Amino acid sequence: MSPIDCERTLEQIALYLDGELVGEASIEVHQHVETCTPCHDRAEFQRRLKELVRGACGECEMPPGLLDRLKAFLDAVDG
Amino acid sequence: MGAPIAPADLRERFEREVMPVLPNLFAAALRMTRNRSDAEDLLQETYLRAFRGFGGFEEGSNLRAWLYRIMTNAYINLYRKRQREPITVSDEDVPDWYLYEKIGPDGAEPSAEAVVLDSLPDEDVQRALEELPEAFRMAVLLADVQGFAYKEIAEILDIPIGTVMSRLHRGRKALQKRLWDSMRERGLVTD
Repeated sequence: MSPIDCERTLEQIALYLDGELVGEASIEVHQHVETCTPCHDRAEFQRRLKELVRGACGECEMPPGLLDRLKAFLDAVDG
Repeated sequence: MGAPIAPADLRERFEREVMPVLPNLFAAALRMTRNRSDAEDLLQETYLRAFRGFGGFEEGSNLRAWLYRIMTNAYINLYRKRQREPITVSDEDVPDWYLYEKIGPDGAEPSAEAVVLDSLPDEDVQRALEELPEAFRMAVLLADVQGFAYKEIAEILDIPIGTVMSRLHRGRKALQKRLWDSMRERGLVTD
């Protein structure tokens, strides 16, 4: 298996970071990213960006009382 | 198929299994509806619809994806038409690696981009996501925020996987543009 080049790697970087590559395709990209500094830097940046968005928007304090309202809803429906 | 589940058991199982997902669902509802009051209503509506359909939900299958599908449909039915479309960010003329080129490592200050990214307040990132055109917003929300696989997103949104990938790609570019604008507004970067 000949190693893939930067262009090919970067084309697939989103798929790779999204966990959508499997088998040999995944290994190829992984190996390139681990050994090529410019590609590694780009991959790291994308990863950080994803984490930024996830961290800022992922979970939220439930407003007080909402859980109680949900429970009351079920009581009403359940009858 | 085993013995039918008693209603009390069904309710108990529903509450037990769905409860841990609620903060997650609520956060997503906030990003979808872009206002707190609608988000609460959407969550309630989702909860109710999910409860009504829970008897038909196959135990052990993908609960999160199922709940998100319900919520997405509820959002489309109830809220989407009502909302004024805000000024949205386009991905037009945004190249791949837009933000990386602007703030990524250039050898001189290797830690600069980490500082800039970490300095952005959560609300700026939330606003950026909310200002994406809806199709992009949903894709980025489900993939990057909620961590669903492409196949799951395709099922939740009822679109082909190719469309998921396209919306994600374009949505992320538009997001990068909006984040850059935020960074400039905050004085974290200069052009």
